[in-house]
Amino acid sequence: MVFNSITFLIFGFIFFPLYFLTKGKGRLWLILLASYVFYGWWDWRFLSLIMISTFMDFNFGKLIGATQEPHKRKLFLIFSMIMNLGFLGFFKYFNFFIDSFVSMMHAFGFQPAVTSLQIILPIGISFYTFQSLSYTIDIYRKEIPVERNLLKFAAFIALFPQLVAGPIVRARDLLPQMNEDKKFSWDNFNSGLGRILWGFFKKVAIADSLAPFVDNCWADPTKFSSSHLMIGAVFYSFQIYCDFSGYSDIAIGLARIMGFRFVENFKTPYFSQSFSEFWTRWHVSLSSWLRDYLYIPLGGNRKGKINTYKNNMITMLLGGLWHGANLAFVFWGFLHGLYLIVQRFITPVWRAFVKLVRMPAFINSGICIVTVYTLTTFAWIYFRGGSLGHHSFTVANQVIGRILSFEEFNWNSVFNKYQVIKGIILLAFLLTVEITNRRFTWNRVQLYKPALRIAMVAGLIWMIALFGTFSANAFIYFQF
Amino acid sequence: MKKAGWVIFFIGVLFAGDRLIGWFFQHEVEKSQFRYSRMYRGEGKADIMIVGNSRGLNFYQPYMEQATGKKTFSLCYYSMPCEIATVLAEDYLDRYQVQTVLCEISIVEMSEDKLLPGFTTYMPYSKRIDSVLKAKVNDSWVTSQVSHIYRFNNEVFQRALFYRNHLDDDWFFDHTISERLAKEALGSSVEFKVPEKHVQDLKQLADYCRARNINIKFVIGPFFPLYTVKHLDLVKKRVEEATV
Repeated sequence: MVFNSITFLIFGFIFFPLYFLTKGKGRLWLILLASYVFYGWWDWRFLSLIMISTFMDFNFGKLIGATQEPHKRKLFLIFSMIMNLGFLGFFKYFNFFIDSFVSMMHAFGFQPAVTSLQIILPIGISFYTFQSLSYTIDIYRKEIPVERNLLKFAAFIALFPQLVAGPIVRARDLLPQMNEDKKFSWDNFNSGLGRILWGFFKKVAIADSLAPFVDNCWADPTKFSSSHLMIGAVFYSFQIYCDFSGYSDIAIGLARIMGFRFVENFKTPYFSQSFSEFWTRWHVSLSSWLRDYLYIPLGGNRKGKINTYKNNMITMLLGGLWHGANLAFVFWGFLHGLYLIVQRFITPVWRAFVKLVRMPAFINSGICIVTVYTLTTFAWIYFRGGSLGHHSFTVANQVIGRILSFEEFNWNSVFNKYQVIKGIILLAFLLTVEITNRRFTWNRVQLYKPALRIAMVAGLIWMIALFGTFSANAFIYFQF
Repeated sequence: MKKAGWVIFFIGVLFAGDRLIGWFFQHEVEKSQFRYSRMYRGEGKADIMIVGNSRGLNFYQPYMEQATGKKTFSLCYYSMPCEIATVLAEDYLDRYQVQTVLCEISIVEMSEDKLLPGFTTYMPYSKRIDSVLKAKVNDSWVTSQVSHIYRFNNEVFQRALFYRNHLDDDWFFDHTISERLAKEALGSSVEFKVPEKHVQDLKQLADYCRARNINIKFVIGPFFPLYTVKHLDLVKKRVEEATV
C-alpha cells in the first residue's frame, strides 16, 4: 500500500478512529494487525519474513540479556546478525554476487554453469532489517533494556508509517514511547497533518512532476543535448530528495498523529557546506545507523589518518551497497567515500585561503554549498543508473559524457520545456519554503495561528491541484 | 463546537479559493492569443484550417499564407489525441466558414490517454470536449468538476499563458537535425498502427465538412528520408477508403 493512494486514505479513515478508541494491549494488536495489512497489501507472502525476523530477534534479545558471559552474548548477537544479514543477503544480493562471480570467471576465461534465481525483493527489507538489528546490538552493548513483551516488540518492528521506507527508528527511541497510552491531541493532529500535506506535496507535485523528464534522460541520453541532460541531472537530485524526504515527512506526520515522535530524516541537505555535514542532513536515520554500528566499531577516526580514510571508505561503500545490488550503487558510495577523504585534505587549505583573502562569510558559504551540491549531483547520476541493471554504468557515463561535451548547450536544444518550466517553478517554491522555514518553522507557527494554518493547508491543496501528478507512483526508496 | 466552526470555515475557504483562482485562470485563458482561445473567442476566421499533431505544426502557418495568399488557422498541437483533434475541428467548423480543411493523417494513431486531460482547460467552452473527456478520462473529468484549479494542471494552460500577449503563429518545431541524429536515423524506425476507431473519427470529420460544402484534404508531412516508416501505405489506404 502506498501513502499516495485511495486505498491508504480508506485505510487511514478506518485505522485512526479505532486507534484512539483502543488502549493498551488492544491498541498494540491494532497497530500490529494494521501494519501487517499495510505491508501484506503488496505481497502477503513476505509477512512471514517479518514475523520470523521479529520472533527471532525478540528471543535473541532475551538470550543476550539473560547472560553476562561476554562470549555467549557475542555468540547470540552473531546469530542475530547472521539471520538478519542472511535474509538481506539472500533476497537482495544473491543474484548480484552470482552475476559478479560469473563476470569475474569470464574475465579469467572460464565459463561456469551457474544460473541466477528468480528472487523477488521484499519491499522495505533493508529498513526493517537494520531496525531489528539495532535492537539486538544495543542490548549487547547494554544500552537498552530487554523488551519482554513480544506484542509490543512486534508492533515496534512493524509500525506501518516507517515499515517500508524508514526512517529507521531505533528501539531506544521508539520502544519507550510504546509504553505510553497516547491520547488524541489537536496539536499532534495539526502538526502531523501539516507534515503529511507537505510530504504529499513534495512527492506528488515535485518528485512525480520531475520524474518523466528524468526518466527520458536516462532512457537514452544520446538523444539529448548537454543542457537538456544537465537539467535532467539537477531535476533528479531534487526528485530523489523530494520523493524520499516526502515519504519521511508523511511517515513522521502519521506517527505524530498517533502520538509518536520519529527522528528527523532530512534537514535541508542541499544547503550543506561540506560532505560530512551532508551526511548529517541526508537520510539521517541511515547515516547515523552506519556511523554508530559500522564506522565507530571499525575505529572511526581514532586510529590515525589512514585508518580514518579506510573506515570512511568502507562505511560509504557498504552504504552504497545497502541501496541496491548493483555496482553503480557501490560506485556512488565510493564517490562519497572519496569526497569525505579528499575533503579532509582540502578543508585546512581552503580555510587558510579564505582567511588570507578575507573572503566574506556568505561568499565562502555559497562556494561550499554549490561545490557540495554539484559533486553530490554528479554522484546521483551513477545512483540513478543503478536502477537500470546491467547498463547502469554505460548509461551514467553517457549522461556525464554528453553533459561535459557542452554540445548544443543552449535553451533551444532543451525538449519538454513545459516540464522544465513547471520544475523550475516548483523548485523555486521548495527552496523558498526551506530557506524561510529556518527562520519561521512554519509547521510550528501554524499550531498557534489557526488562520495561518487554514491559509497554509488550503494553499498547499491548491498547489497540489495545480501541479500534482496523480498516478500513484511508488516511492523510489521502496526498492531499497 | 469551536473546532467544528474552524473546519467548516476551512472547507469554505478551500472551496471559495479554488473557484476564485479557477475563475482568474479562466479569465487569463479567455484573453490569451493562443489558438484555441482565439477560436472560442470568435477570432479564428480563416480560409484554410489545419488540424493535426506536431507534424501538422510543421505546415508553418505564416509561410502557407505567403504561398497561397489565403488566411490560415492552425488547430495543431504536439501529440494531439485524434478524438480531441476531430472535436476541435468540428467546434471550429460550427463557428467559421472555411474553404479548405487540411488534416494531417498521422493523428490517426494518436490515442495517448495521458494527454487528454490537458484539454480540461478548454472544457467549459465545448460540450464536445467535455463529453470526450468524460468518456475517456473520467477520473480527470470528475476531479476537474470538484476542483476548478485542476483544470489548469496541464501544458495546454501553460501555453495559453505563454501566448497571453502575443500570437502563437511562430510556433513550429525549429530544431536542426544534427549530423549525429541524421546518422542515427538510419537504424531507427517507426511503425504506424491504424486503430479503426480513429479512422472512423476522421470519416466523421470528412462527412461533417462535406455536409457544409467544405473541401477537406487528408495530407501527411514528409519524413526524414533515412528514417524508416512502416505501414505508412496502410494508413494512407485505410484513410482513403474510409473518407473518399
